[in-house]
Amino acid sequence: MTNLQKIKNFKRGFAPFFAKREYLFYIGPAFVVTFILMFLPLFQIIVGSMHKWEFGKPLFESDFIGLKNYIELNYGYVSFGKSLMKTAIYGFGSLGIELCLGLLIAILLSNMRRTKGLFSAIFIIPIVIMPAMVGLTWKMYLSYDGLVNWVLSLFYIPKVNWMGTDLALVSLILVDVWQWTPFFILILFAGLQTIPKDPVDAIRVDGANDLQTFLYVKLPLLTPLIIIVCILRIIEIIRNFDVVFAIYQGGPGSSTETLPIAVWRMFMSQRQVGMGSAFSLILILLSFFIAFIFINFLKKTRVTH
Amino acid sequence: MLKNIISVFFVLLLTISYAKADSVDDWLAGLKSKFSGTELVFAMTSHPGSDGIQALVPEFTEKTGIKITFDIMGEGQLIDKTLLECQSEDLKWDVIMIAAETSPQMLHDNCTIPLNDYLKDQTLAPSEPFGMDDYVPAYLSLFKMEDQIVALPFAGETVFLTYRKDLFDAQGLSAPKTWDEFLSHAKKLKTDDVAAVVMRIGRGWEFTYMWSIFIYPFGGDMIDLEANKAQIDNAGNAASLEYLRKLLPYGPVGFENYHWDTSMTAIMEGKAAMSIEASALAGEYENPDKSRTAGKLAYAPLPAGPAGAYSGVWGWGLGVKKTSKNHEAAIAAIAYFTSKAKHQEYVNAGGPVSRTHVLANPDNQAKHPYYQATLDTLEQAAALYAKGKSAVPKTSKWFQISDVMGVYGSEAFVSERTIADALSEMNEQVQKILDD
Repeated sequence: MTNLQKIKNFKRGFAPFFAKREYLFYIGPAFVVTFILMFLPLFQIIVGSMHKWEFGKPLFESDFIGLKNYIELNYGYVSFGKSLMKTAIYGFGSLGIELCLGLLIAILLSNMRRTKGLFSAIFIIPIVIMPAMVGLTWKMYLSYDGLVNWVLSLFYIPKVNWMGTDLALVSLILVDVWQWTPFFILILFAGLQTIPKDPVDAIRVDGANDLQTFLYVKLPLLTPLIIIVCILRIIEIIRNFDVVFAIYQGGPGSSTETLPIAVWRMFMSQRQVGMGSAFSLILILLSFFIAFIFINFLKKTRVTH
Repeated sequence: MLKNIISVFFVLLLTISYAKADSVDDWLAGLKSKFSGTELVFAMTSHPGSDGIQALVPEFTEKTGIKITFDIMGEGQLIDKTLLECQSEDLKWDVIMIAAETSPQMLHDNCTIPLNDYLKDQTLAPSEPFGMDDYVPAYLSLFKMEDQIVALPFAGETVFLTYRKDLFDAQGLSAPKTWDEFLSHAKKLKTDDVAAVVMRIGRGWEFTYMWSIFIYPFGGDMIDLEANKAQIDNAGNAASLEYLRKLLPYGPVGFENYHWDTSMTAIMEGKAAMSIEASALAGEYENPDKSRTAGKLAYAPLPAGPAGAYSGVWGWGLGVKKTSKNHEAAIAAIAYFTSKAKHQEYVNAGGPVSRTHVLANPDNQAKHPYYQATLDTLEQAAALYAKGKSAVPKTSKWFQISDVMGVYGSEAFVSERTIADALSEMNEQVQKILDD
């Protein structure tokens, strides 16, 4: 075949295909990079989770054990069920409080006339602090003679053992609320600013009070934003490692052994990369599942609107 | 006559000290001719021992031309990174600070090289200034696996009792001889402001570290290495955990989450009357610039339980990474930093003592009130070793095992589980690790 024929064949074969799908040239590089950075590690996690893979041993030399790692998830010394339960309490506890508190403060802030900018600047501070630093600082605050108990004593509330088994998870929620409520405040405050005036004025003309205006106009318009913020936060909370590790390292006992801590122990302390991969994959699927529920809910609210 | 004797004595003294200085200088001159311009990276953790080593570096670099850079990180981070990446050539470390607990694994995983043959080379580690026989034998044995030396010890530690003299005197108490007496002292010493006892007891390896001190005095056991069998589910271990639970009310609030650093801080701030902790921390307690209780503390060997009085040895050593391109220079450097000739200087800079001649020196014993207790506790550790047992069993799986024991043990300590359940689960999981 001559070179001319080859070119003609190519033109007949691929060129028209790409000519009609020009967008492939634009998204192609990004797709390849994403594939290498995201899907290959994910593929490795999936394959690794089906092997008895230990540190120092290449994956291809490890024994294939099928779904054994998944079957033993709850029976090994790091219990998936218990960790999941603690993660759920921590995650939904934090999310619930942050949402309510964030919404309330955002409404108050939107009704203020002058100091909005100042508060917005102050609220951003906890968000930008390194998580490990947040953990270490709060470890001091939560100690028996620390800041939290001092504040309680101002209200004549007796000192509490925040580092004990009973309140360890509550303390984690407290830290998360401190750090991430401002995130809700800032986003929801911005959302409140963009609500169009017409529907608000209309319901006012109909005689609605502030509460009714909020419930029947502002809240429905704000719902998509609330869902997006919740998705971002819940995924972040599920994989929050630094703060939990810096303050409690999963203890005392196993009272703060959330899923990321369990994964870390499987990898680092037990050197069971295969079992750790199984934990990780379930953690990823859990994040997807929760995001899926929220996104579905988001679609429904849009349809309603 | 007397004048002559004194003159001869001083001449002899000068000759000896000159000869000593000369031999160290000869050693360094030899290293300069061989390794000048070499750059070494030491991976270490924040520790008094690291401070001691760093104090010796300027002279070493000046006289050998070997440059040393330190990569200092947290203890957990160093151990994790070492175990995770030790075989990687991308990790450009030459020397690694190795915890005794992980040394069998280091050798098993081919992370470090055995040092034996290199240490026979007189240019790298000349017998006299280096002084192999002068290491505290128990500390050196921590880093010996089947006669192969994995690392050179430089921050050995044992666990002893530290107590506040003033508080003991006020109550008319003396150092407890038994663990029962220790508990009864704790009941008397606990106040709203001062905890009776502190120790590392947070979950994980730190729990196992401390629990292992109580296991053998209460007649317990951990592993039969020869039979490869977990021996954790026994009455002695149950009794030791029960005893630890009894101590919980006499510790500070949040005791269940105490680690070595919080425990050390409590003693230094005067918030605890007694401490069961590593001897390596005592130098910090007695530093008046850092500690409010410097000069107020006394030290004693560990009390006895129903089955005897035992302690253990732990510590840190310096090993050479297998993938390093500078094996000989690295070995010469760690031999120098841990050498007999430089150990006093290292101790003076805050490093924990690891050599016999410094520990046995009467001047040092007078200056450091914890040296005698260290020697006494080393005897307690030797007594345990004589029984064929150790607080750190020499298995490459110890790191995994101690984590399992430390989690279940902590759960039993804070009553998340019953002691019987914790021991049974622990035994099963440890056996699984041993069988793998």
